[in-house]
Amino acid sequence: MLIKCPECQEAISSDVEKCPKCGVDVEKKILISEAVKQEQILKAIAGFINVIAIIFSIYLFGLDSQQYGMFSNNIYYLYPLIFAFISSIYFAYKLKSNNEQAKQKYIEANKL
Amino acid sequence: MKLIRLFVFITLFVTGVVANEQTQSDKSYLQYFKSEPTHCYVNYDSILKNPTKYKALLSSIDGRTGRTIIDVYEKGLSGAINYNQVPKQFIFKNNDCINENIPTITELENLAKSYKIDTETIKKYNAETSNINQQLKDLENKYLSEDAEFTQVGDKKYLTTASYLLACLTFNETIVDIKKSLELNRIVLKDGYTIYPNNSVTTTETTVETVETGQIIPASSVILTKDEEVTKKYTTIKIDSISEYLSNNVILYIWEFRAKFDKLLLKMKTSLFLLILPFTLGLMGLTKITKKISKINDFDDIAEKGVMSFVLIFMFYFTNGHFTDNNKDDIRLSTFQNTAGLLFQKSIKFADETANIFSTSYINFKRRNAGFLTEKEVKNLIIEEMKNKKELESLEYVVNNCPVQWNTYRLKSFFELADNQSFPNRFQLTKWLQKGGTNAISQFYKTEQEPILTLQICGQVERRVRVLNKEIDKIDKKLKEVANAMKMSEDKKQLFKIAKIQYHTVAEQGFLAIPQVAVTNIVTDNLNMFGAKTNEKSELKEYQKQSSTDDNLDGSNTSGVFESIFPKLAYMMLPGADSIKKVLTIDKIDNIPLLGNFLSRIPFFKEAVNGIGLAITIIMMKNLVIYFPVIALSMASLMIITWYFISVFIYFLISPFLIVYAGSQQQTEVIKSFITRGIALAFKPILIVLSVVVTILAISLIKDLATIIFDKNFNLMIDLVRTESNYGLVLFFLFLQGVLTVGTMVISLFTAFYLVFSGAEMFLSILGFKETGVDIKETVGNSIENRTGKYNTPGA
Repeated sequence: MLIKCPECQEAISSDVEKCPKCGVDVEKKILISEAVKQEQILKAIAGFINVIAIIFSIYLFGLDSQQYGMFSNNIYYLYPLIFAFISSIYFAYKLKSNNEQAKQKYIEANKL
Repeated sequence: MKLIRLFVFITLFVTGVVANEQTQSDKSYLQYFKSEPTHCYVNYDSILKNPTKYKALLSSIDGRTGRTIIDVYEKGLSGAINYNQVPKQFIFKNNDCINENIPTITELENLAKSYKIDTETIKKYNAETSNINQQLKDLENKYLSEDAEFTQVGDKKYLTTASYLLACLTFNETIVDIKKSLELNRIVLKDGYTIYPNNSVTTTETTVETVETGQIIPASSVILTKDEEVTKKYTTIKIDSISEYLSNNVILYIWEFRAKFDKLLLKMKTSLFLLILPFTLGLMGLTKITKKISKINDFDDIAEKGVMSFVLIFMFYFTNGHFTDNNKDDIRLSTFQNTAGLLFQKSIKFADETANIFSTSYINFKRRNAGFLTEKEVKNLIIEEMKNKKELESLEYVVNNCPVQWNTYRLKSFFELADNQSFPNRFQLTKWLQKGGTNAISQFYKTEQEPILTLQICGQVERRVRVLNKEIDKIDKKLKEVANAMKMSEDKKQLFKIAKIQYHTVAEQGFLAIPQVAVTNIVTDNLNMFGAKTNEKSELKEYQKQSSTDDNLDGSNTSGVFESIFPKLAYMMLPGADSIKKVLTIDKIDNIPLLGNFLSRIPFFKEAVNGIGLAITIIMMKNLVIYFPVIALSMASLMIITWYFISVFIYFLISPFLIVYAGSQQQTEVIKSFITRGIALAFKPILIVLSVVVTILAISLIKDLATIIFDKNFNLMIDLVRTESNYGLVLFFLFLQGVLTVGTMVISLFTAFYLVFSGAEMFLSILGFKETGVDIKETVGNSIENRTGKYNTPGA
């Protein structure tokens, strides 16, 4: 499918990564214009969750070590990190689908 | 030697005289005192016959036995007492001081109730524990007693795997039928022996059969119209033994080799013997002649050599043939081999029995740890607790009256006593009295008169009360464990499981099963099973903490939450930790398939994932460190047990060659040395069992001693660094403390390995057998160990 290049407005294929005419990163350009705000928000939430999970895990790890010493068999301090891992995957998936939607929206609007 | 005996005799005699004199001094009580004491706490000074000349002090009373000690000092001319003199001591039993403390049934019942082990519960408990104990006893009787059901197979004697293997390797024809075995191509035992205990295994075999047309399908009423394949299941019950899974073919090969080698061996022995003997005789004659010519005295014992030659021939040359058919291959053993075979068999029997004892005592140890005490044991504990409490009650008079009669405030400041101490101890008091504090003692009186309860007694009772409190506390914990044990049905199940498997294995395999017991010990301890959580180790940690606080360490032993992470980082010091971490962490998120590009955009994703990797690495290293003694112990046991059997086989194989070497060298020494090495080898299995027992002790001791020796010292060091406000160094010291803990575990790992691997050897060298070649380990074992060490002790 042919679309307008977001930079030089020339007709290009929707599958190309870079515009053969002006050389701009098509996908990036589309996203800057369409999904940048959403991406910033998602990244902020995911980053915040990760930081909190890391701090909480370190705290729990310390607490466990303090209470049960070197040979503790507990692993509950891993849970916040596992939660952070799963939530990161969710956010990454969300980013991906947002990007795809934005691209689709641009293609729909700019197809020739 | 005679001098030593004389010295011992004189010492004993003098001790006896002194002891006798002591008794006489007791009898002379009435020479100094007017009457016997009327009750326990008496002012002995007031009943002295001559109070102007002497001063009597009640020095000590044992509340349980009534043993009373009175010190009588001689007064000087001025009436002052010189405490530097050795007092005349009267030791006697004051019946009024005896607190027999035999608790009444009601008292016992009330005490038991306070532990929630009242009559009803105790009845239930007794029913349960006696049930547990009975069941454990039943298991023991079934597998390990002298007439165990498992091994008593009627007309035949049951052979443990160890005995069976040894019989095979030593060509013991009283046990194995070598001729028939070679004919039938499988190991056949002589009539009186069996390797099958009373142990049956049910096996279900599935076969596929073709059922012809017109027949009925089994277990159905369907008549077949064409041939069809039908699966049939057969259940058979067979007798089974672990011993038959030993490689029979190798043993048959060894026998065949030896049988075929026999004639050649005889020829070789004869020719070598006939070659060496004349040669030796010739040389000996030559030496004699040259010495005679040179007129040199020769102290060579010809008679000994003659006798030894005869012994040599009789023991090592003559053999007994078992097969009468000369055309067949035969295994003929020398007299020595036959005798040594018997010795080896006997020793294996002893080792098996030692293993039995080891196993049963181990289960008892775990039973007690879990709090499953027998009814009698619980009763004894309750009585002891009651006795302690009663003694404590009996001391109440002294405890209450001492502070009334003595000025404790002044005593505390004068003797600079600790906060929790009211009276000076015996040492402090004696020192002060000897310095001349006699006349100043009245400054501590609260009353005008001299108190009946002496300072010595007050100090002694203060200490005794503390000892009793500790005793009461200890028994209290034990009784609480008993009460808790009633709820621990899981522990009970596990204990039975362990007991059954261990008894079964030990009964079946003999001493070969001993490493299993040690391995189970390590695993159950690591899993905190059977009261391992409430054992002395955690109490010790608690005590260390407490005493650190008492020593005014500014809370160094209570590290903060984040500080507590640092000791655990020590696990990353272990070799291998880095490799595991590398596998579990990610370098480039972009490489992750599907979502890599998007995940790389998520802030702190990499840190979170790597955090999981680091934590898992620490968990894995911790488990490796605590469970690797299991691998080390198993590997070491495997090697040492295998080396033992191979050594025995080699010893048997090479013994005929002794005739050549003994003939060519100093006969006596060679034969003696060979026999002593054989004895060392024969008793090796028992030493192996003992080395495993020592290993269990050593592993526990290393951990305990590390806590006792280093923990408090580290707390002090951290405290010092902390007061210097060098927080970075505090964290480093916490890390070092962790390294020490991990190091201790690594040491226990090495100890487990080397004590099992070289324990028997160590015992032998203590006994003076330091000659190489006692077993194969010297040459083969160590080399293999050097090359395979990394498998036994990875991460170390």
